[in-house]
Amino acid sequence: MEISSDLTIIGIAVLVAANCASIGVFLVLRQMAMMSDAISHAVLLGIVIAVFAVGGREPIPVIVGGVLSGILTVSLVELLYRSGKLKKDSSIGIVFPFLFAIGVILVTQAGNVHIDAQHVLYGSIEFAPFDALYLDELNIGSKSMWVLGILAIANVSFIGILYKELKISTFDKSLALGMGLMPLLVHYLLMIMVATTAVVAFESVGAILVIAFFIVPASAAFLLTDRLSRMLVLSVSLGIISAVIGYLFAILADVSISGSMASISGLIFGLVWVFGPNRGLISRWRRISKQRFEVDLGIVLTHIRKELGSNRSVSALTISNSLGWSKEYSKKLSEFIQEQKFVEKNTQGNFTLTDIGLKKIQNFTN
Amino acid sequence: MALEEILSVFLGIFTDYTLRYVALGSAILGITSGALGCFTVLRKQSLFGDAIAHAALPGIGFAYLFAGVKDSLLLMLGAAIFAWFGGIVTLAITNTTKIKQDAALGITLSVFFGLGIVLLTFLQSIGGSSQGGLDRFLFGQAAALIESDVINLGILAAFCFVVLILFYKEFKIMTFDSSFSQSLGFPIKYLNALLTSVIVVAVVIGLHTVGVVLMVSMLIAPAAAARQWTSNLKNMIILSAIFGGLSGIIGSMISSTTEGMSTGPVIVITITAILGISLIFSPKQGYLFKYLRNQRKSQISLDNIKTISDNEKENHGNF
Repeated sequence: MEISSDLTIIGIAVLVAANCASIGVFLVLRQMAMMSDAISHAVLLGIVIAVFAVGGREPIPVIVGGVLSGILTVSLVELLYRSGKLKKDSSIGIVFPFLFAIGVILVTQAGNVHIDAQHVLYGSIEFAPFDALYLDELNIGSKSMWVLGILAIANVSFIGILYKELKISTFDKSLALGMGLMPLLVHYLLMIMVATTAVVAFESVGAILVIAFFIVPASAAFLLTDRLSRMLVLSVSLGIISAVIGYLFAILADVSISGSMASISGLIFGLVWVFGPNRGLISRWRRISKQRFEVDLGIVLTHIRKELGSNRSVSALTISNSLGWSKEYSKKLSEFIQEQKFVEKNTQGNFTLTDIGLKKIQNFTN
Repeated sequence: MALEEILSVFLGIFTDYTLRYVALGSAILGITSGALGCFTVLRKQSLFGDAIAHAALPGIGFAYLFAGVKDSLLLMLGAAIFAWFGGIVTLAITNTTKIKQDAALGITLSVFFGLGIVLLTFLQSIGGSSQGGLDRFLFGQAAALIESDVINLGILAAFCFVVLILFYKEFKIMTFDSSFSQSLGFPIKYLNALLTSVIVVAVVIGLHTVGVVLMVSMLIAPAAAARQWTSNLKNMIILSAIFGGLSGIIGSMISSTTEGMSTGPVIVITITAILGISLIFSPKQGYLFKYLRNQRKSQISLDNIKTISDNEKENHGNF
């Protein structure tokens, strides 16, 4: 079975992105983004200890070690802030650097751990194709690919089977409790899935960039939709797109693959943030200025009616003076109301209200 | 380790040229981040420091890319600009979208860090040897500090403390009662920007000794430890600065005994140990004394119950 190494790397990147982006949706919605950051740092310690214990990077001990240290992180954080001595964010910011620091020292001081500092920081996805899995001396493809594939099945079944539980406990915890859906159990299961995903992704993208794959595509998807099912599909798609484009860019520019994938996912998030339909910065700004224009239109028409009612003459200049608007803006508004035939100009250049204009004012005052 | 060995490391501060600057630089970082960290912890912005520290990394890359020299001031300037920018992006995301603060922090820190890694690996691929010096900003390498670096760090730290002393009252009121300070007519927006700026400076100082990845610990842990001993802001700042400085010196000395060990992780473990001791042994709130007090209380109530029942027995004879 011969698959070119480029394709293998892209396959691994796509699987990492899809696994992280699907779980990430729940992390973003449950406001646990920084908790997942803490977990993905802390798995390093478990991985290193597991490697020490069995003397090699066998997938199962590594995953068990990583998940245990992930659970240790969550429990330590909860222990600290439940005691009332520290706030939750402070607890997170104390626990994970501590565990991560121990992991880093173990990595740098113990020579033969098969992990180095660079690997910790940004993974080694480029070497994944060479770490092949053999079945009766038959090369059945990259080891990472197999592990990630199994993880994908686990994640899909986790979300599929517990979809209702996850959904309700995410949006209304007390309802979930009342319906007997065991939100606490769901919470810990989710944490275990996060830790497992972080350990498996660690091989490819390192401890720090994992959070980019968890959070960034999910946040971009969150800006595009209000439906959980759509958000899941969008998040996974955006994650995969970032992974593929990021890989291509990294090859072209000869830079770190995982760093490039994280940067591209950030770029995509930025594009959604600025140009996104309905909620993007631009459409938001458009909507606000349109609303402001509508309000100002009402103000100017009622102003004209009031002034005409007390027998004063109104022109673009007097509007600017009495309403305190800039000359340009008053002129723009005056031109607009003439175009719309709300007012007409008489021979002295003063405005008189038309029937359409009076009707418009009726609309505003009702 | 023999006592003699420990002593010789300690005396090294005064005799060994390199070690002196290493310890001095780490102490400067610890004192500055310890003092300013009090505000981030009390204002519930602990992880904001994490995000801006990670965001500083591409600044170092860009500064080196454009200037082409490893001038430490220039690198710090680049780092500061990007740290600031990261802070603004985080605020902008929370203010203009429905994304909550934790996800906004996560987005900033991971994307900026990814960009920084891209830049560092790019510099590596075009320059070869150049990247060796930039790698140390990830986990800190206090051993690489030279005299001029330490002087620069000292000046930056002095700037932070001048600002802190001048605006102490404003920062204090703003931290504990933001709306009250607004009603007093304080320019909240500018004061916030000023406080963020000094925290950015502390983060930039930390890049040399602790590195971007673990910097958050130096802002939170000393302040959290100091908080266990006092409820007075001024005392908390002083104590936190002492804890930070102490962990900087101890951490850099321990790491100097071992070849090629990054300073950052050792300093972080030291300060976390100080925090652990504070959590357990602080007289008012510590676990130990709380436990002892509870024990004594339950003993007293047991005794009381016993005396009452004894009295009952005496008064009524047998039941």
